Parts: sequence; structure tokens; C-alpha cells
Amino acid sequence: MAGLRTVYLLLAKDLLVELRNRETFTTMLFFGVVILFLFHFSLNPERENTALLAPGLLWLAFMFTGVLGLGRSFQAEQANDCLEQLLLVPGDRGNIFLGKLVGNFAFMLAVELLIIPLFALFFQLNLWDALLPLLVVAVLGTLGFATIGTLFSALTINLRAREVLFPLLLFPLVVPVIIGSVTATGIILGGGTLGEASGWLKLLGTFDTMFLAVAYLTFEFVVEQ
Amino acid sequence: MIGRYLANGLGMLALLAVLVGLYLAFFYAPADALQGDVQRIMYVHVPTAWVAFFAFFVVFMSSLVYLWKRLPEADRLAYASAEIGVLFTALTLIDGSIWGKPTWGTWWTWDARLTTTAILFVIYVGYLMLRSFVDEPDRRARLAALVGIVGFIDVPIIYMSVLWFRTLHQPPSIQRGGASMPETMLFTLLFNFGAYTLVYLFFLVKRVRIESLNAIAETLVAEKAVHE
Amino acid sequence: MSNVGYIIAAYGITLGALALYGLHLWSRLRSAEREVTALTADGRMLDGRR
Repeated sequence: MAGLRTVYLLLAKDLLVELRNRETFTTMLFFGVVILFLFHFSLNPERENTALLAPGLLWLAFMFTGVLGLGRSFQAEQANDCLEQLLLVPGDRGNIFLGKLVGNFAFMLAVELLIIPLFALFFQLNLWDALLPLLVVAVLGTLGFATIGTLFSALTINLRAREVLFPLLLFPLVVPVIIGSVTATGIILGGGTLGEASGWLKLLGTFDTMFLAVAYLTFEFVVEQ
Repeated sequence: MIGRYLANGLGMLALLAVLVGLYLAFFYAPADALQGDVQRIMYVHVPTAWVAFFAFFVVFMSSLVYLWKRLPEADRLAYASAEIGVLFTALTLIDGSIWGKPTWGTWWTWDARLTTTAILFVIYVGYLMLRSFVDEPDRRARLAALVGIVGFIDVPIIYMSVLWFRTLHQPPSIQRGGASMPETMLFTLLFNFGAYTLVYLFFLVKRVRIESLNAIAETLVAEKAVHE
Repeated sequence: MSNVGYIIAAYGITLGALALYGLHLWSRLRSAEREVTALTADGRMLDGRR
């Protein structure tokens, strides 16, 4: 199917570029580490309240590093007018969005997978037991965040003050993702099962599905020339 | 195109409605059994909240029309509604805060409706800032329309997620309006709904007219530049 | 602050802000109309003004 091929090629291109210089990935990762340090110094969590703060802090770390990566996601295309070339590819423009989304999602998740053990280390938490359910929440939440993020990243790509405008537009709209992810993570870290968090997972799932569709359908209007 | 007289007539009607609404709010409706007279703030706070969300709905609809038909009038309508909407949203938050202090002892409360209104405010501001950063009219209209559409679709989801978050973190101890409202109160409330909606519509008509005139002026300026 | 103060504050701010915005719109409308009339009436562009 031609559409899937577009998605695959775009994804492969982005992964290849990233594997070669690892710019975005390493920047995101070290920024995440810096954020964890900031948390420690600004909040100085004691043993007792770390458990309370952990879900929120973890997702703040995810989101701030995520914004960094998402903001850059169309920069490569913008640089050499590649976007116009990309748009010449026949077929649904939404497939370009999907290709970008999967790439962004993969990068974010990869960074998160490294932040989680660091977080556990810095804040002396045992996340090992809850790891698998935690990953489920991470996947659902990151997908929602990356969906709106990719769409708005393309939207703001050529604008003045893009660096400020992009987070400003993004964060209010992902409030449901924040609420769902943090609450579900809190349940998981508190020893609960995925079942107990199911309401929040459903919220995330609904959000993801809905905005995946909306973004896929509206992407062609974003990149119109 | 609404004629000048119709528009001004609308303004007169709106003013009259607001004044009547004020009278109803202070002299017709009874004081609340629990809150006393402070509860009368409801008759301005709730209508402005309604207008804030309705205005965003108008932004949503005209954004859809713009993406579909590319009518500059649709974009002007969206812009105008967003500007007026952000004003009403700000007023809703201020009134809500002022009402909250004597009622619940705090200037701010994270209840679902107020929180969603605050988020709506930020979405509006984002929409307007986006517009101010794009110079080309077509591009500006298109990008703004996308934000208007995606933003509006999200608002109900934001509200629900905040509501669930609230029920989790704070048991519903705050009663809103009680079981049923006495008829006098309900009538006053509904009347004021209408009054402030008329104000919104009047502002909308005038604001759109300003944008149209600006567009005409720009075309005229451009034409003259060509001739010289 | 007695409760009357709160009521006056809420209504005062709201109605005041709406009135101010109305005045603002009125003045913008006037200048927009003036500009268009000026541009259509004579053939010359008014320098220094858009």
C-alpha cells in the first residue's frame, strides 16, 4: 500500500539521520538528566513525599524533554526546503504525519526508557516491580503527547517565536494526557494494577484515538503551500 | 451585511437587556438561603462563562468554514469571536474568583468548570498570539483555523478529565446551586444569559465590520501603490 | 471587605470592562471608516498612514 510505504520511508529516513548523529536523542536525554537534578535541588524530596511527587515529576521530565524533541521534528525538512519535496509524494498527506509521529514517538519513548531508571536511582525508588504497567502508561501518554506535538510542530515550523509559541499551544491541549498519565502512574507506583487504573487508561486511549484521527485528517491543511 | 441601523438597534437592545437583567438580579431574584446576596454574582458570572464557551464554538464553526470554503469573512468572524471570547473568559475568571472569596474563603478554587475556563483562556491567548506571528493573511487564517478546530474539540475532553481528577482529589463538598433553583432565580439567570449573549452578538457584528473595513483599506492602499 | 464590596467589584469590573471594550470598538470603527472614506474620496494615498 502506497500510504504505508510513505510512512515507512519517512520513519526510516528520520531514524537513519538520528542514528548517524544522535543529536536530538542525546540532547533530550541530557536535558532530562538536568531536569531530574533541578527537581532534586528545588524540591529536595524526602523519602516520605517522594512517593507522592514521583508520578508528577516523572511526567514533567518526560514532557519537558518531549517538547524539546518535538519542537525540532520538522526542522530537518524546513532546512533545505525538503518539505516541498516531501509534499510532491503522491498520496495522502496524512501519511507524512504518521511517519513523523512514529519517529517522534519512538524517540520520546526511548528517552523515557532511560529516564525511568535514572529517576529510580536519583529518588531511591523501586520501580522494577511496576515496570511493565508503567511502560503501558508511558506508551499511551507519550502517544497522545506526541500526536498533538507533531501536528503543532509542523504548524509552528516557520513562525517567529516558534520556541515559545509551540509549548504555549501544546500544553493546554494535552492537559487530559497529563491528568491521565500522572494519575495512572500514581496508581501503578502505589502498587495498583493496570485494572485499577483502567478508567484513566481509557481516557488516554480515547484521547489518543480521537486526536490521531483529527491530526491525520487535518495535517494536509497544516503543510499546504 | 447587516445594515448600520440593525446593528445599532442590536446594541440598544443589548444595553436594555443588561439593564433589565441587573434589575432582575438585584431586586427580583431573592437572596440565596445559604450565601446571601453574594450569590447574585452568579447572574453575571454564569452568563459570561456561557458566552466565553459559545464564542469559542463560533471560532470553531467559522474555522471549519474557512478551511472548507476559504472565505475571508469566515476568518474575520473567527478572529472577532476569539477577541471577544478572550475578554469574556477573563471576566468569567475574575467574577468566579470574586465570588469564591466570600463563599469558599479562597480567591481560587480548582473546581472543574473554573479550571477548564482558565485553560480555555490560555487556548484563546495561544490562538491570538499565533495570529499575531503570521503576516500573510491566507497562512494566518489557515493556521489559526487549525488551532481553533483542534482546540475546540479538546475542550470537552479537558473538562471531563479535570472533573474526574477533581472527584479523585476532593470529594464533592461544594454544592452548586442546590437541588433546584426557585423559578425567580432561574428566570433571572436565563434572562441574563440572553442579555450578555446580545452584548456578544453586538460586539461581534461591530468587530467583524472593523476587520472588513481594514481589509478594504488594505486593498485600496495596494491598488494605489500599483497605480503610482 | 463586606459582601457588598464583592458584589460591586464583580459587577463593576464586568460591566466596566464591557463598556470600555465597546468604546474601544467604537473608536476603531470610526478610524476604519474614516480611512476607507479618505482612500476612496481622493485619489492620493495618505503618506505615513496605512
